[in-house]
Amino acid sequence: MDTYDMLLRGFGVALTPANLLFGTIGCIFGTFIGAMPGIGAPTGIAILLPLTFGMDPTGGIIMLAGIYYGSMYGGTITSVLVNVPGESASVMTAVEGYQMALRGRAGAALTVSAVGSFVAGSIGVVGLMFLAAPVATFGLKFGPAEQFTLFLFAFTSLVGFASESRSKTLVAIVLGLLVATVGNDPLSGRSRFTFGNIDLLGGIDFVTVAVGIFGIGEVLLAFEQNYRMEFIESRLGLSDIFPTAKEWAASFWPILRGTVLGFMVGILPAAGATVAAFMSYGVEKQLSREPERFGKGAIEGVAGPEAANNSATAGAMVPLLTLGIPGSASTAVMLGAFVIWGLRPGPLLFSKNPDFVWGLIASMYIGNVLLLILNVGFIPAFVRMLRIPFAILMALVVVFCVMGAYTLGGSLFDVWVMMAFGVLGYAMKKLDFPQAPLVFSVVLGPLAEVTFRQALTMSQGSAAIFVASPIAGALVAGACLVLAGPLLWGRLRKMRSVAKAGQA
Amino acid sequence: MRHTDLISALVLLAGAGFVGIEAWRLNIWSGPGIPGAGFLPLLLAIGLAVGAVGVFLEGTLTKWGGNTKWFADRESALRLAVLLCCIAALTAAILPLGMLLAVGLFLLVFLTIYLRGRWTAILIIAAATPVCLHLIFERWLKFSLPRGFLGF
Repeated sequence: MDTYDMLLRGFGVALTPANLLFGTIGCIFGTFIGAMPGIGAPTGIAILLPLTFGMDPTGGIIMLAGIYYGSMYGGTITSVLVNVPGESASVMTAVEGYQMALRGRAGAALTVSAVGSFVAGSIGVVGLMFLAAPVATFGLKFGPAEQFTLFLFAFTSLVGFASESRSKTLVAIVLGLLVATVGNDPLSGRSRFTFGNIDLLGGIDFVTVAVGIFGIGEVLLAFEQNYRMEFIESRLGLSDIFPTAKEWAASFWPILRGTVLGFMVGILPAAGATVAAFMSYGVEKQLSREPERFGKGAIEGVAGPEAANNSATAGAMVPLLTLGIPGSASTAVMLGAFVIWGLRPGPLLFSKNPDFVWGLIASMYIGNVLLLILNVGFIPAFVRMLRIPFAILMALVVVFCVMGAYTLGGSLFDVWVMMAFGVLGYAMKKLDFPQAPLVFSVVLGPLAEVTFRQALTMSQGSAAIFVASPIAGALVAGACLVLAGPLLWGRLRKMRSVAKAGQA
Repeated sequence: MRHTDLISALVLLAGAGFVGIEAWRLNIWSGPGIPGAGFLPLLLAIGLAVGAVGVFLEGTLTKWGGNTKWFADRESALRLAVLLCCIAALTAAILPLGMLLAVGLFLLVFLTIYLRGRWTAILIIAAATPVCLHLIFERWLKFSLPRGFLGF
């Protein structure tokens, strides 16, 4: 069957009443979560994940994916109306969108961002559709050495692309991998770091880590900092939300450029929607004939980054579905969900579970249409929802986190572990350690260790196996490049500026 | 110089030492050329030590002009302490009281503190949330939640 037949089959799955309902719930919840400062997409996915345990995996992934890309749409609402980005990927939108809102153009900013998100999301899904199958076929050539070097590339990308300190990112990765080693060693059966506690023999489940770090950790921080949202008064009726012809024209190319850039950045492990949005903003500012307008309400600065962060979500699905490598914190949590549902993301997922994969892809088309309707027609309703007192929302998030950790294994021990990770997540935020790499490596750790040791056993302890095949060699070279590249680039720029200063 | 970074680095370095010793105890190799249970932990101990040294150097070399206080004011520390106590009390109350009653009481106490005077909202949320949780987890997902001495 070719791609179109598979897509039609996927629509058959996604359009069943139950899956349509789960997709709609995911989109609405995602928009709401995205709009709430302090609760991002990974938190939303992590706290709702336990609900999907009893569901059919296809319905579950459709709901989680709805939360993921819904949050990208939702992040715009508070960015424009409150100047507080709900999502880190919406930071650049806040810069320009809020300035537009102050000039009475909030409706236009929200509509352009919704339409840009829709166009980018839809084109991104087309990219995902045509790229996923060939990448999955390529992935079938991977043995343990190639798989491990792929994980190595993902880990080094986290360090290389780190927006925070590289040392702190390295520490977060190592801590995550250490958490993943707790429990019985998968190859020798020896217990590691259990300290005689039988509850730890089975290891620490990634859900308790993700819910603790993203859920409780964020609640603790938000509560300590006493988030408050003050909406600016904006008319958001149907007649106020349409951009002018000039605004549409100014947004056209930024949306297309943001779409392509976002998709490409999204495919890279660890880069994600935030990096895509920042890069798109930079590109638009550089290409603009009037760069001085940026920071004062340039619509290009809303259209480009919003398109980029949405197509990045589709791009992040490519390595997740085809190689089992998450492209962002949200897809890392989804990867863990796959394992719980008994599915192994990677090349065989497309042949063994076509309904799951193509149902998800088709649901992303439907979700984008739903989100466009929600984000153009129902903004006032979301604004009303966001006026709910913060204490109520935080209390409900805590309840869902506790329920989520408990339902995982029916054990109170998991709830205490989740709380401990919540405190760790809070401390990491306060100390400027990135949280996502920790969760990322907890999810990837077990498989990374098994493939690492399998490869070394095959080569009788020789590390040469990791550069023996062209694929593994290329991945190791890529890993070195992402680590050293930014340092060398920085040095080069410094030397150039010194040379220029000398010439002057 | 940023003191929190220096303290973090020292704690991480101590952690790396502990992991290294534990890795040694677990056996680095389980046979000739076959990595043992301690192989990865040893590499992670080295990675943690490298990261800690990096954090230490960054903390020493970077000029830090930010706020060095952990809490902005006494009130934020108090808010955090109350929240942590409430979550711990909720967790501890799950087995004796049952999940639904513990959640209802948690919401009642927590919202009474932070939504002073809005009794209708507090009571509705504290009563409706356990009912919703019962419908979602016990009826829909068929998951049995712990029951307390009152039988629910």
